[in-house]
Amino acid sequence: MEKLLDVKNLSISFETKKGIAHAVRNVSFEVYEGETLGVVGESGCGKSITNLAIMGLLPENAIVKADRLNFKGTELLNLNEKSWQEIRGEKIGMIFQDPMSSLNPCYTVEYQIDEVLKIHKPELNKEQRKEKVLSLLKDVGIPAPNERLKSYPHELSGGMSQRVMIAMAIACDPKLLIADEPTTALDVTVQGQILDLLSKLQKTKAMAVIFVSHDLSVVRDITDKIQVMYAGEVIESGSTEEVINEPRHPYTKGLLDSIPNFHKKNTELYSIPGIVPDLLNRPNGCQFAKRCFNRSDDCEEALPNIEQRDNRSLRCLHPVVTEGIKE
Amino acid sequence: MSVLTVEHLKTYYPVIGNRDGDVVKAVNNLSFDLKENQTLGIVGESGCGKSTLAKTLMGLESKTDGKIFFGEKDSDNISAKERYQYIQMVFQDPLDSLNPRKKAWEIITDPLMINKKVSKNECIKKAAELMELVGLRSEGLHKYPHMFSGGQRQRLGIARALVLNPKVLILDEPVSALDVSIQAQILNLLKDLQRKMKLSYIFISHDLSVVNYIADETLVMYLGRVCEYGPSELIFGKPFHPYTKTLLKSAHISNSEEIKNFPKLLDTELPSPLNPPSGCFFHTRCPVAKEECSNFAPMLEEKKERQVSCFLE
Repeated sequence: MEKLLDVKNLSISFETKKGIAHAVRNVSFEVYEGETLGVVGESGCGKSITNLAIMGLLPENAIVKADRLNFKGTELLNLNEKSWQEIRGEKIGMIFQDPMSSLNPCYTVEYQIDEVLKIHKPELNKEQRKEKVLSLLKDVGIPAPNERLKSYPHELSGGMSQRVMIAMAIACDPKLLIADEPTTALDVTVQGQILDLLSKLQKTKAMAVIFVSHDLSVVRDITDKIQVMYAGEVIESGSTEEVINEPRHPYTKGLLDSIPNFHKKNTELYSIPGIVPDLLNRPNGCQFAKRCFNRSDDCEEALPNIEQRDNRSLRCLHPVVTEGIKE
Repeated sequence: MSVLTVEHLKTYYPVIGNRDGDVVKAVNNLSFDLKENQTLGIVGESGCGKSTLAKTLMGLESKTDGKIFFGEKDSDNISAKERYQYIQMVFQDPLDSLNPRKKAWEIITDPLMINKKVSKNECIKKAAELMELVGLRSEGLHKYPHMFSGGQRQRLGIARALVLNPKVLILDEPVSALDVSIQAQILNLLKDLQRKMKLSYIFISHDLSVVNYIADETLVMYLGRVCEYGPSELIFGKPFHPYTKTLLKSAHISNSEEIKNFPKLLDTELPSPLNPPSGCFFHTRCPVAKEECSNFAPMLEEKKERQVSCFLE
């Protein structure tokens, strides 16, 4: 399989009145063709910022540094706005969390999907584009697509709007689709349908997907690899099954233990003590040390490096030895 | 002992601009019974009437028909003040439901000021007690809501709901806006408070694993009606109604082969509550519907130790 996205030591910081906030620090990962990478972590851990950097959508006060930020051989770091336009929407598609607020309420569904084609596929004429819009709506499972063309976003339900968003994101057959919490705002029945749709599209279109979510049960079901982030750093990554069944980083274990287990009802839930560190004033050593149950003195001295050990990357000096949380 | 009994509760909304007197039946003939120190979970998709039910119980929305009993007392015969000393509510979004211009102690003791004559000093003292009870440091008494984190704000909301010593708390999606690790803290806190203060909860959520964790009994709603109502072990362990099975299947939490292999919904969209289907409301989406389902509405009956409205045997 070919390497699609290659990120090496990506750091993103913001200049604020109180100083420089390091939102993302030395994040490295790779995405191969056709693969699904799940990114999990609490709010503010840098999941979305990393994706915005890949899409070139960061605000102007962001300072981005990286050894490599490479998409299919193109270095993304120093692209100008025009070259970004060619990648965004055409080669990398993105779906946002809240479909209602991501669609423009003033334009019809047809207009909004057509706009993508107008920009990226100038060779198509009006009729061809209309045909393409119709087939896209069919692909994402919208019933009676002909009648839906002239609908405005407020006439659609949440699930339908998310399908329209997906249609827009896949309009140009991107090689990589970034889905940032695509089902968080949806009902559980609709969530199931959208996940099914994403997996189906991924297979038929041979796309790679970066799937961001805080819901580990969703991530477990649809991803191949998983990457856990904490305070802007990747702290553990590996194959989804291995990481979820045998978490080694205390934070990953804590996250998994704090989900109510369907089969163990009357036990108290584990909750991670403390709060995330202040990004303006980070501690010296391991960022998680203050909240960790496995901490010892050396944890707070220096930041542990991320190390590869049997198919697993881990940033921890004292990993947990798990007996395996199997169901 | 029952602390809250609801009998044939109906809340209808008139349709604006419609002259035929059409109504949306947001809560349609709902009956249940909440016992002391117990938790009733209410689940269903958005638009099924969960939040309308909560508002009706609180008296924020007036009921169209039916009875609500707070212990022995009929809700028609009690004043708003009495009602709020009996039942209180915690809202979904902790930031939206706290007044940004008030300090923590003012937020917590507002209900006290309104309902009882209490001096400022007593209020501050009471607020400090409550903050400690919900796991907040009393240094925060004079802070504003934006100075707290999401989880801490939800603790403030809980403290405010507890200040009048109510018997019943309505929790409307109390953890949906929170991260999983914070969610666990709040769930533990709620369980703990229930033990200490003998509280009864109505826990509204769309997250089935959370409801399964916290609720003793569960009520599954669909378009304002009850699908299935009974002990949580049965509802989640051996669901009967096809809608309950669908919910469990979509949530990916059950290990049972029957749930995993349960057929998909026929129609992905919830029918319009303005114009609900004939017969059983669920028949347009039900993968196991029969002919009679579209003609007759099933009654809520006792089947396999729970109440179900379905023709299946």
